[in-house]
Amino acid sequence: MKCPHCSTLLEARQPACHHCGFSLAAMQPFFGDQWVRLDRLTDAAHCLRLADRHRAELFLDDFERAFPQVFVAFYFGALPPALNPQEVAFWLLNKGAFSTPQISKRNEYGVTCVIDPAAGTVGTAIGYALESLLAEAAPATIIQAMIPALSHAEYGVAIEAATEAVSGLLKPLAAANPIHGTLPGAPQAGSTAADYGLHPLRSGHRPVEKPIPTARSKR
Amino acid sequence: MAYQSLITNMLMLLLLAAPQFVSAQISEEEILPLPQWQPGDAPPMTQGFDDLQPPPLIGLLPSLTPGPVDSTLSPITQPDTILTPLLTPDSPENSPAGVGYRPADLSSFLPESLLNAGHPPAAPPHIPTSASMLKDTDEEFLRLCATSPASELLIDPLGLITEVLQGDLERFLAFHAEEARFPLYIIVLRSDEKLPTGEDLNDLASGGVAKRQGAVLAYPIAEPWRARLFLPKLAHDAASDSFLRELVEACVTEATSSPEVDEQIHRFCVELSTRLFWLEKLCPNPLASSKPVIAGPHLQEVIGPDAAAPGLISTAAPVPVGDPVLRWIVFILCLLAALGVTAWHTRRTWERYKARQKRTVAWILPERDLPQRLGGAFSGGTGAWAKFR
Repeated sequence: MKCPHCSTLLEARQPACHHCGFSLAAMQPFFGDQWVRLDRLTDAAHCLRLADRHRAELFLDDFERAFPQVFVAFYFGALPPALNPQEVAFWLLNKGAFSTPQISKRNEYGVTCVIDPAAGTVGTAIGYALESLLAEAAPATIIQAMIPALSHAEYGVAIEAATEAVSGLLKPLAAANPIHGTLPGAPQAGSTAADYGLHPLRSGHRPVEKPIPTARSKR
Repeated sequence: MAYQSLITNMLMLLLLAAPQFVSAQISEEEILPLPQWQPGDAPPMTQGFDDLQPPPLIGLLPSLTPGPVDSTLSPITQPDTILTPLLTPDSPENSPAGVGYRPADLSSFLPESLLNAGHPPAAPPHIPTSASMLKDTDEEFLRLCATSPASELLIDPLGLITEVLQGDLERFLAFHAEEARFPLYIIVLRSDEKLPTGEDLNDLASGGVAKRQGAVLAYPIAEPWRARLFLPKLAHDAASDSFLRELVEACVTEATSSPEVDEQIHRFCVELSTRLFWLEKLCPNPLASSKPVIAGPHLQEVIGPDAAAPGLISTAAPVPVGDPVLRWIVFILCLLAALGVTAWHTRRTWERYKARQKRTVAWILPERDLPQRLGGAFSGGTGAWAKFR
């Protein structure tokens, strides 16, 4: 294992790089200490075409259906000059709340890919669970799969290539379990909106039991 | 007094004139007896006086008034039975008085033979025979052509030409043979027949064609555009190909200008005879020529323009079934098409299988825990980065 910043070899349980001092806390000046909400596809650089985005969403759906534990997330955007994309991917995987269809996926099984179209750089980071299964060269394999498409600014194709690469790396390590289940039925009586897959955005702003103050009571 | 004398004079005049009037009536009755009216001839007086129609004069004159045909008329006077093309122009629409003056009205004044002598019904238009339906003439036909007398210029073993036209053509061909250098032999074929390919016509008419340096016309009845003309080699040597091609084209054009079958062959022969006279002028004089007549086959076919059958509209390309090369090409194309369809179907099935496999198989990874590094709860920084530009 090497440091994302200076590529120095790291030992297990090492809180920071001995050589450069890199750690998750060292990135706080750039991104703060708050968690961030991310989609599987976050296009801050606005470089994805709508058709590419739709196709990539379908591709990621298939991937997540085949690998229920794993997700792959992509971030397109301009990065701070002092950081390389691998460092940003590392930070996103540790501080990101990824919105996937199955929200219970753990970030240990995540793969984040960060692409800076302006700088022409791409980096990736994988979680602990995948790190224990995959070879050390696996991240480089994912990067190499993306570079041909990225060099032609075909970002949608790059997404598919990276997902295919992850799928190809994981399949030999996984056990094929046939899905015997049928389509999920309707939730039972007394269920909440969350049981239907609907999550209120502002539920924390106002308690449900607290009534809305009327105009008369205001006076 | 004067008034009485005037009345007396008038009575005297009446008495003098009465015997003359009675004597004149008697003399007319003796010459032309008037018809005797029978009680049954009068129609029943159920109508008003204005609507009363004159009684029909059966056997004397047909009714001149329009109206339904009386079924009691004799068959001779029934309009439908005696309607002839000769009288059809005199229809009610174009009759001068606008009255329904039927052709039957004149039947009483015309002999029956003239009424029944109408034009024969027009023959239906000939439908050109398609190339795929043409068949070779049989051996018996060729044998009859070969053994026909040399003096018989019109060779029609099947009797396809009417007797009158046959006589006309025979006289015409005989005249042509006397006057022209190349006598003309005509073989009449059925409309769906053709001469076999490579058929030798030199022995035609018991060898008369070869002896008399004659020209041969193979004429399919009703299809002059398929007529084949064979001329002596001498004519081929003397005339250019374009001249000979124009010769055939002119004959076909002349023949097809008439829709009638008999008229077509007649026109063809007349035009061909004229053109053969023109061709004769191009040939060298046999008396002046010192070249000996070479024995052997001398007939050569004139390759005419590929005239398509008039009125024949091809709705589909003929299926190339005769040529083995074309058959192989069609077979290979069909095979390739079948392989293409099979490959497409296989690929589609495979893609469906893979898609179904994707939906029905889940890959489960084992769970292992690693100690945290670099302060990361979920990732220890394992990864890579590169520049792609």
